[in-house]
This record gives sequence, C-alpha cells and structure tokens, in this order.
Amino acid sequence: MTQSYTFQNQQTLTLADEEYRAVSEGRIRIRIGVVAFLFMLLVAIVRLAEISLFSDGAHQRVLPQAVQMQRADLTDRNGELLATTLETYSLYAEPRRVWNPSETAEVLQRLRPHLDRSTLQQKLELDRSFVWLERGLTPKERQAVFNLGLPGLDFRKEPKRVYPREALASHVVGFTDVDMAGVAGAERAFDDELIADNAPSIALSIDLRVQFALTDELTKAREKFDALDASGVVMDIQTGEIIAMASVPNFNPNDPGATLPATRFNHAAMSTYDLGSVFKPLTMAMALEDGVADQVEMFDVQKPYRVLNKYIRDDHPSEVPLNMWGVLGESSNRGTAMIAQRIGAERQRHHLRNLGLLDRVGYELAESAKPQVQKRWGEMATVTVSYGHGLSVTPLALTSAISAMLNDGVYVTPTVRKASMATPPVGRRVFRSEVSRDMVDMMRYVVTDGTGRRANVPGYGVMGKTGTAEKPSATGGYDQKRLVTSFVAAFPHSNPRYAMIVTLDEPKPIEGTYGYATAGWNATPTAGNVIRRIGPILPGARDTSKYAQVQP
Amino acid sequence: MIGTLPNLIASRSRRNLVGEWWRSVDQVTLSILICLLGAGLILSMASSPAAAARLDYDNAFFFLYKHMIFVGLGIFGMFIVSLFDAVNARRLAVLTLIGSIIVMFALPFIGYEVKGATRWVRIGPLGLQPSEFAKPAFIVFAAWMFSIRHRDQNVPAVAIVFGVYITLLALLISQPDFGQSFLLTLGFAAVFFFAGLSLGWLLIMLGISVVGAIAAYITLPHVRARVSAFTSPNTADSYQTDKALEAISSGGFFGRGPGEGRVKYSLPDGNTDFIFAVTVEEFGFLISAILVILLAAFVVQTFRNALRLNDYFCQLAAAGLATMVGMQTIINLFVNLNMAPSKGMTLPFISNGGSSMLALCFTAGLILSFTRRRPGAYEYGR
Repeated sequence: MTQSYTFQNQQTLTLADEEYRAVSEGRIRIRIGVVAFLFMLLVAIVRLAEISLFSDGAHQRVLPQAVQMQRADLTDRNGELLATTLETYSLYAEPRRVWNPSETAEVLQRLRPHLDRSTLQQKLELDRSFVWLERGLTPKERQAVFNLGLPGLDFRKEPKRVYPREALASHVVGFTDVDMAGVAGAERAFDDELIADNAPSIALSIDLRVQFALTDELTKAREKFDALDASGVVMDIQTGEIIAMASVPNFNPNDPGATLPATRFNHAAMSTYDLGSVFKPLTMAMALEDGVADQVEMFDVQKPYRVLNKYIRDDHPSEVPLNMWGVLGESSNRGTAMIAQRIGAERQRHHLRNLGLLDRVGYELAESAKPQVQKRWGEMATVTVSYGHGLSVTPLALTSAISAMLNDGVYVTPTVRKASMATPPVGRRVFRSEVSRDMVDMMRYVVTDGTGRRANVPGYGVMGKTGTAEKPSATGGYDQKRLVTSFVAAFPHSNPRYAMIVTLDEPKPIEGTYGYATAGWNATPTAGNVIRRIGPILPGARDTSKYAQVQP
Repeated sequence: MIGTLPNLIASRSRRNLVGEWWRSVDQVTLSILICLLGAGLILSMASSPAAAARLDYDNAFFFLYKHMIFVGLGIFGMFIVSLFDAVNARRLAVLTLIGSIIVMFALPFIGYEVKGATRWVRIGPLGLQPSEFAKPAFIVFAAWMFSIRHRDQNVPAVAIVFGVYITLLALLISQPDFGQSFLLTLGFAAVFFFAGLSLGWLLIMLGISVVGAIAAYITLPHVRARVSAFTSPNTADSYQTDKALEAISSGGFFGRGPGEGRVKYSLPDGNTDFIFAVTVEEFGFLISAILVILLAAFVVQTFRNALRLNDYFCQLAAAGLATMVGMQTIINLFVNLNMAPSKGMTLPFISNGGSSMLALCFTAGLILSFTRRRPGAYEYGR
C-alpha cells in the first residue's frame, strides 16, 4: 500500500520534474529570442540615427523659414521707381516691463492720437510678455516714440513692399505676398534675382509715361463705350520690349487682397479672343510669302461666295472686284477667304506657328495664356482663321505677330525687361523683307483710305487694321450683339518702330456712333488718341517720309 | 456589464471582479500599453490631417476620430479578454482561430477588394480583416498544441499544428497577403523554437519560407516589383520609401515640431504603415527613439513574464505573442528605414487601421490574461 503510494508520488514528481525541465529549457530559448529581438531593434535605432541625424537631408532642413528682409527695386525703363522695399517699424510692448500702464498709455496716445487710450491701457495691463501696439511706423514716427523714453516699449523692424505708382502698370509689376515673395507679374518672374544678396534694381521695359497715356485712354474708352474691360499693348517691334501693357480695370498692388480677383486679371496677356479682321494682314503676308497671290489680281468679292455650302458674309460688301489692297482696306471676308484657300491649311498653320500664334507668348511673365486652337483644322477652319475667327489668341500674341510682319519679317520674342546693348534681341525670320515692305504699305493704306481712318494721326505715319469679332454665344454659333473690337496699329510708316493694340470687350453703341459698335467706331479712335499722346514721347516715332499717302 | 459576463471568468467573487483583476494583472505591461495607445492618438493628430487632405475629406481629423473609436473599442476588448483566466483565454483564442478560418474561407464570396487584395469583410460600418485575428489566435493554438505534445507524446500535436499552419498560409496567400504570411511564419517559428523542437523542424520551416518567398517572387508581379524596388532603388518606382526617408531625414534630433511636417502630405500611407516616418519628421529622433523603446519595453516585459511563468502553455503563448508583436515592430521599422521591402504592416498600437488595432488589442488582452498573477503561476521551483 505504502509502496504503491510512493510510486504514484514518484510519478507525479517525475512529471513535475519534466515540466520543470521543459520550462527551464524554454527559458533559455526565450532568452535567446529576447537577445535577437533587442539586437534587431538596436540595428533599427542605429539606422534611425543615421538617417535622421547624419544624412544630407538633415542639413538642408530649414526650421523656421528665413524671413526675407530685402528685395531689390523694380523701375521702369527710365529709372522711375515701380516697386521698392521700405523698412517700417512695428511698435510692441512687453507689458510685464511697463512701469505704469495708465501713464504710458496717456503719453503714447498724446503722440499717436489715432490710437485709443483705453485699449492701449488694457493691452499694457495684460499679464503677457508681448503685445503689438501699432505696426508700420515710419523711421520718424519711430524716433518720436523712442524719444518718449518709456520702458517696456520696443520696435521690431519689418520690411514692406511698396508700389508708389499704385495701380499704374500693376499687371506688369505684379505684387508679393506678406512674406515678400513674388506671386504675380515681374515680382514673380524675377523673384530669384530680386531676393539675391545685394541684388541691383531691375529696369523693366515699361515707359511709365506711355503706360499712363495708354491706361488713361483705355479707362476713358471703357467708360465711354461701356465695355466690360479694355486692354492694350505698346511694343517696340525691333527689340520686342513691351513699352506699355495695360488692362482696365486694374488694381492697387499695395493691397492686392482688398481688390477683386477679376481686376487682377491681365486681359492683354491672359484673355484669349477671336480677334477678327486684325488677322487679315497676316493672311495677305502669308499669300505673298508663298507666292500664291499678288497685289494686282482682282478678286470677285461683289458676288456671294460659298465655302463648303456656307456663305461668307461681308459686313459692308463692295460692289466692284477688289485687289489685295482693296480687300484689306475694305476688310472683305470673301476676298480674304479666297486668298486663304490658296494658302491651304498646312501652310497656314506653318506660318501661324512661326508667328507664335499657336503657343503661349514666351516672355518672362507667368501671365501668358495659351491660344485656343481647333483640333480639326479643315478647309472651313482655314477660311475662318484667315479673318480671325476660330482661333483665340491674346492681344499680346497678336501684337507680337503683327510686329514680326512689320519688323522686316523677323519675329522677336516680347520682353518686359529693358533691352541692353550687351544682349541684342535674337530674331527669327518668318517673312521675306519684300513681303514685310509690301505689308507696311498695305497697312498704311488701311489707315489712309480704309477702315482705319479714325486712327490717322498726322505726322506719325500710322499703319493699322481694325478687327470686330462676335463672341461665341452660349447657345452655339455667334452672338451679333456681343463684340470684341480691336485696332492693331504700328508707326511710323517710314521705319516701323512701334506696334500697339487696343482691344475692347463688349463695347456698346453710343450716341455718335450711329448704332455701330464695330472697331472703326471705338477701338480705332481710342488707338488714335493713344498715338496722339505717346507719339511725342517715343523716340523714332515721327514719320520722316514726305508722302504720308501711299498707293499701290 | 460585469454581471452579464459568463462564469468563464475566474474570480473569487463576482462583486470584486475588477479589483481582483487590477491586483493580478501585470500593471507594468498595462501602463506601457496605455502609453502606446495614447502616443498613437497624439501621432494620429499629426498624420490624420495629411491623410484627410490627400483623400479630399472635409474633416481634417476624420482619421483621428476613427482611430479614437478603434482605440476605445480596443481598450474595452483588451480589458474583457484579460479578465479571462488562462484556460478560457486559450479557448477564446481557439474559437477565434476557427471563426477567422471560416471567414477567410468565405472571403471570396463575402469579402471585398481593396488595392487588389481581398482581405476584408464588412460588419456594419466596419471593415474587418480576419487574418489579423487569425495570427495571434494561431500562436496561442500552436503553444497549446506544443504544451499538449509535451505532456502526452501520443497526441499528433505537431502534425495538427502544421496542418492548421499550412491551411492558414494557403488562405493568406490566396488573398494575397504576403506580409501576414511572413509574420505568421515568424511567430510560428518562434513558438517552435521556444517549445524546444529540434533543429530539423526549424530547417523544414525555413525551407518552406524560402520556397514560398521564391514562389511569390516568381508568380506575383507586385512582390517582384517591391523586391526589385528595394534592391535597385535608382531604377524602380520607390516613391513611398523615398518620401519616408525624406521625412525621416528632415526630422533631425528634435523634429520640425508637431503639425509642422511637410513631407507627410506627400506620403501616401502616412497614417498607417509609414506613421513612424511622420513621427520622426515632426517629433525628431529623440521622441521616436523613445517610442521604439516603449514598444520594445512592452515586448521585453512580456518576455520577462514568460520567463518567470511556470505553466508551460502560458510561457509559450506569451512568448510567442510577444515575438509576433516584436517582429511586427521590427519589420515596420525596417520598412520605414528602407532596410526591407515594403510589406503593408502597421506599427503595433500606433498606426491607424481598425482591424490591426483591434487584433493587437486582442493580442495584448491575451498576453495580459496569460501573465496574470495567480497562486503558483510564477517562480516554479524557486
């Protein structure tokens, strides 16, 4: 009995021993596991330290973004200041160090009467170590506050970007954000240059006097004809310099946040329009360049003309056949269509591409819209594009193309920087010289004898072309009431130096225009007014030829 | 609430259940867990707005709120599981295993697909991933089998375990989910190793893993892409890893500061798999190293408890579960630090992700249950 009991006990003990053995062996193995785990973890931490503390990226890190303290000036081509950086002083208080809040508030309020005394006192009594009192003090004002000798008041230097000309050339100059980083216009385009250490000021190609005249006339025209907006460009066709570029309404860049976004839109470079007949000179030049038409052939523009079962409409149809000069002078869609068909879609596209009309204008500013180009470019497109429908481009792009045509046939990329002798503009030939000379005469003829008579300012040999386009209507097709009228001009005829455009968006017929709202009645006289004012300012604008009149 | 709990729960008196629990549970492990879950919430504040911005959610803290809900559910679940005694916890794990295997079998019919893998089932508003729950449950099951084998050599425990393992593996691969398969195999191997099985078995496991890895590399294009992205970083598309490295390198010692992270906005899985990178970017080396140490402390504390446990099953199960959590941590860190190809594995207790959070809380609950102090539980023979 005892024997058996002992045996059983023995077995239990053996079992327990075995469990103990297993558990102890498990313990050894678990320890190995722990060591392996900790080893891998150590590897991970070492690697973490390597990447986060010792990699290249760790050094590039800029924790608080460096505060931009300086930014070079922008001037116009004559050195007139367009944008500058002023140091202003912001007054703050350290309330804990202020001796007597009520006395401090009283003295300070006497010097700065527009501040509210009780508010000041409240601020100074706060249990804080920092509170703003007034920002943007001039150096003189700062000195006056400083002279009060009040403890606990101090100043922080804060640079501020200032545009002394306010809205003038605002679309070209652009503006900066609160951190003085350029966000629009030249401020954005030349940001890197402007913030460099000891950067010299940058002279833009703008002439403020011309800019003022253009803006003023556009503003008047916009009011007079009740247009949605008006834009214009004046360009030096030999250097590509943009002498003036305006879009009305404009805005005050000193406080861009307070303006409507619509006013910040540069219509001259960012709005694409079907510009209409201002394209016709380009079509004539293409035909001459390709040798598919000459200047004496008569086109039967008096008869109805059909392309692909569609009648081409002429606003004021001629009763007799016209040659190329007449077609341009009378702005005949039919004649232009006939010529365009001879050029053909492929050559037309080739020329348009050369003239920079199938891509955005490649100047410095980011404000440059891409044209709207039809995907399918069939015969109908060729015909309509020849007189400026079915291809929407910016006024700036068209001015550049017309400039190229008149600049001995050489395209120069526009620029908003003043050209220097060191870097002459690089051009690209798009038309032969003879073609350019013929077009110079033909466009002069439009002003002397054609639709552009209202822009004929004596002494400057103005060349030009009108363009009236109907806006696409919401329901499809075109809306005959909503027009975009333009006048593209160049002068002087003797040696073309300047090209310009005036574009009015939806001008209305007014008293004195006999119910018309076409370009001849609004954009053209506006352009004439501008030329009358800027002609005397611009060097080389006076016509030197004896005969202002030209004949084929 | 407590009154409705079944008699399964060990207690001297039902009235004193919570007090009993509090006295017997390992308070160190519990505190570490609460710290980790709290850290996860704080880090979710950093990662959630970026993830919400990327997905165009109006509510910047959408993922934070979601995470909060899951953390709440998880803590509750963890508490409930840890109330069980070891035997009942084991039963619960085995039931979970059976349940998740059934759901995984049914996945092709009831599951839905995310990013090309069918891993989820929808339960009400929640998308649950049964494989997440299968992992810890299987580890417990394996520990149980090995402890039985130890007691009674006649039970074909090893064969059963292997059968279940192969089944699980096949189910995971069919989803496909290689990260989980890998983790399952590692956890299993660890239990195997702790259970003192011979080197031969371990070699067989190793063989299976190698063959499986090669098969995955050959047959599955996304696995191949990830491996080649890892081995030849210059040619392959390794955007995610590059961004993670950028985030980590921009962190420095103290980080950019809470909410100041920049790279996190371009890090696609910044709130889940790559939350560690976001952590380093914003909080720097110091804080993230502390986070790693905290995770390690949880694992090591569990190992320490396992070492001192007398019950062979509890020892194996606790050590196995700790290994799994530890390996998941290591793999996630390695992926974040570009030391391993990306796998789709969360940082335990920290990352967003409902199933993963619930499953880890389940795991933690099991660990707490197995390591509870009971008369005679610790320090056998000493």
